[in-house]
Amino acid sequence: MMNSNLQSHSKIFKIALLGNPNSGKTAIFNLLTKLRHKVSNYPGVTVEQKMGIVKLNNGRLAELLDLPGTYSLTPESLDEKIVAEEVTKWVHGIHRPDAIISVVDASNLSRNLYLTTQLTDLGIPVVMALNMMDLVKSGTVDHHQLSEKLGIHAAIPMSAKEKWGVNHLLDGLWKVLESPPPDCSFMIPLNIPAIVSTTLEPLTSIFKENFQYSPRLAVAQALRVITRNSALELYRKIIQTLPGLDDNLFEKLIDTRGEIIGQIESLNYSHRILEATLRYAMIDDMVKSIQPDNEKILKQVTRSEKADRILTHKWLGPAIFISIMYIIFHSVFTLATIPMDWIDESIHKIGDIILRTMGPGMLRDLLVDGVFGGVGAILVFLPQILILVFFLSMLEDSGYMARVAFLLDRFMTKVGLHGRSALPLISGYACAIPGIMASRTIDSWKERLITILILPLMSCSARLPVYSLLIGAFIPAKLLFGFISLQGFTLVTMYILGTVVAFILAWIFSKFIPIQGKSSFVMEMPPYRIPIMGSVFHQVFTRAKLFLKNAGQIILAISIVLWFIASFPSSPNSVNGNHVEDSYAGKIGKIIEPVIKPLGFDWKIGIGLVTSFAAREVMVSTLATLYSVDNGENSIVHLSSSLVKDINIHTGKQRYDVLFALSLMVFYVFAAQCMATFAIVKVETNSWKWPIFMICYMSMLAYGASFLVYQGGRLLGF
Amino acid sequence: MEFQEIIALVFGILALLFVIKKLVLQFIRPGSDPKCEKCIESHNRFSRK
Amino acid sequence: MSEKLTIAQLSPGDSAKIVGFSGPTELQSRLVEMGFLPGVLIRLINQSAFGGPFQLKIRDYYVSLRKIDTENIIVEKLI
Repeated sequence: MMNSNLQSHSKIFKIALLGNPNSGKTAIFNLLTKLRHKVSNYPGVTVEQKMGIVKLNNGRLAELLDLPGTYSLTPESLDEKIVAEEVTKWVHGIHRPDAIISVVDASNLSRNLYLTTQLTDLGIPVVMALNMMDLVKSGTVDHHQLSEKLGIHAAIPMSAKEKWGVNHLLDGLWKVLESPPPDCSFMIPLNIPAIVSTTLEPLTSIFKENFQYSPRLAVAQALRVITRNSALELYRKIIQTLPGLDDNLFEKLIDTRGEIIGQIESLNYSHRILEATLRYAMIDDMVKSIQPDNEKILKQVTRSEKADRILTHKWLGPAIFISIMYIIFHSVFTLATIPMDWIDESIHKIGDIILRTMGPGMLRDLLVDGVFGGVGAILVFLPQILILVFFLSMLEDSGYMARVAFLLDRFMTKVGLHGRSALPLISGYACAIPGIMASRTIDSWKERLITILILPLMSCSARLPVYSLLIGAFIPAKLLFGFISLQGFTLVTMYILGTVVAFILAWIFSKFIPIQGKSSFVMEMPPYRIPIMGSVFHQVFTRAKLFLKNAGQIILAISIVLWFIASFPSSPNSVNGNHVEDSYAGKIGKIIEPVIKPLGFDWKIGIGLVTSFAAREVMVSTLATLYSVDNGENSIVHLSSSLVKDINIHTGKQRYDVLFALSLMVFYVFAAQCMATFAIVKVETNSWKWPIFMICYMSMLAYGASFLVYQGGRLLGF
Repeated sequence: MEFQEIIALVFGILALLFVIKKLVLQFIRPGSDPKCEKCIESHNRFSRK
Repeated sequence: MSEKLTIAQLSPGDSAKIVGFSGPTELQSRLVEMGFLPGVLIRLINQSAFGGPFQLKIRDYYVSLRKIDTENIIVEKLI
């Protein structure tokens, strides 16, 4: 007795959270773990597993694993594959959790229960979190009946949105962890015709003999394996990993499966829909007593449907979508002005304080010109980025993105993409990296690859400071037609440019990449919801933290290094501002200059292009540092006026003009700069081939487009 | 003045080392940088269906 | 005996009962997993412009399907 107490004291339980997409899994994960989880840097669609710690009701701890949403353990898309692979490991004793929480959307019972019935076959205790009870009329879902019919310990009604039921869930969890229910794994509760059972025998025997599956699990796995190839593929890796297995076991599986499929078809059953047909027969039976009137439910018009009548309307739908996008980008420019000015002033004030309180010397110059000048120039743009992220996450959280995929699917397929490409691509406006990861929901390889290849052309938020700086300095603050700001319009044009070229390239790429299998578009349209402001602000804060961390680390480091190489060798003649030109930095810039001169860039921009490889926005802090070092006066420079007022000593003319600004912006639309993006592409595609290809095509595009704009503009007389 | 120079130089060297470390990491261990925490290793198989 | 047609031939607002599938079977498994089975009721909401996807209500939730998939699902219109 003592021994088991000691043992149980030190054991940390492992619990897994599984459920359909949009069932509220992540909200439940957050409620259970409170803040005790590592926040993934990129909230939104859950595409990777998240781990957190739950404090159970008696003080014991458990590890909670949140997995991407899935409709079935027979995977369709990559993210579903991730879940299926993980579950396959559990079945073979690797990382096996002590309990599974099956999250079910009560307003959407049948489809959600599909996954639950699959989970109950695994031989791991299951507790159901019957979520979204707030959407269901009270008394219509009998959770006792549900748990009884499914053979699980408990189905706990709750609402993550209204934050109730969590404690009951923890109670239910503890009960199964403390005293795991007996393994009722003999018979699978599906109504399988005898002749089908017999046909499945060879396969179930292989499972029982080689993997020691219970009879119930053996049948469940057999049914899955004959449904889709992807389910069979799951065994390839696991067979390699497990010790003591027959060398040609996988081939044996393939052959047996092939034979059985042939036999099933000859019995007039379609092997592809056998599992689903059997499971739904059981589910419909179960649900009949709970939701008797199907036709009434069908005819019911929900509020979301009313909204969709307009938002997915043939003509109004696309028109509204374009308007929303325009408003977002335009607001980013206009709403951010006040906070940006405030940050700008504050940084200058701090710079002045340092100047006044520190004696002259190298450290003071480093701090004022390098640190505050360089990093400060970037911090100013934080409000713009946050406003963009705010709007984008409102869009995502509201459920509107599924409608966007619906509206755009036809167009997307014509250019080689998929309706589901919409969310990753739009996420790319914030940052390409989560967008690339979100492409895991696209089930077809070709469409996923093309989405990844063109994603970086969706101008990410790191380009905003560069666009903003150049537009602010060189584009006049006029109004077109009396109400459209020319500056705002230029900004939107840059975004449109990137987006349009991305689609053109997608179309071109799709001609060269072979199709692999068909892709489907069965996409749930979840009910609209008022974005949970907590979640939206969480995303905004996360982005802010990331931005500040970036600024505080890599940008700071580069600014410091740059300050050194721009300040030495120090020329005694600082009056005519020559000394940066003669420094190491200047020399490096001059080497690059001939290559970029046709684009309208000079050595200063050249230095910025080199440093931008760390992060695109570093261009801004680089220019700020260069001008600060050059500046004889003791204060932090105002970068945009420095750019405009910069006179080339040798020619006597203004260094930079509108055409230059357009050329540099166009360069930034297309250039391959963010090394981290390519690192992720390498990880996601498991090959260096694709990132290298991307760097090549983007570099050529950037140079070519910039050249066209600058030289073309000059030719036209600008 | 000397004191300021020393501190400035220390910052400079630390900064340089940091930049070099980040640069090298991008190549030898892609995805180990801030992003892609807890990436599931299974996604490394970019399998075609 | 009500007429058998495909979902693609329904008009917005129509309700129907699924009776079967036709055409290539590769994509049927996902459809069936999502609940598209003979005997199940659906209602057409909208179609996206230029031959785009169809939005339907099935059982108790909403889903969108590509036109080509709707051409392979046979239904009986409900009055």
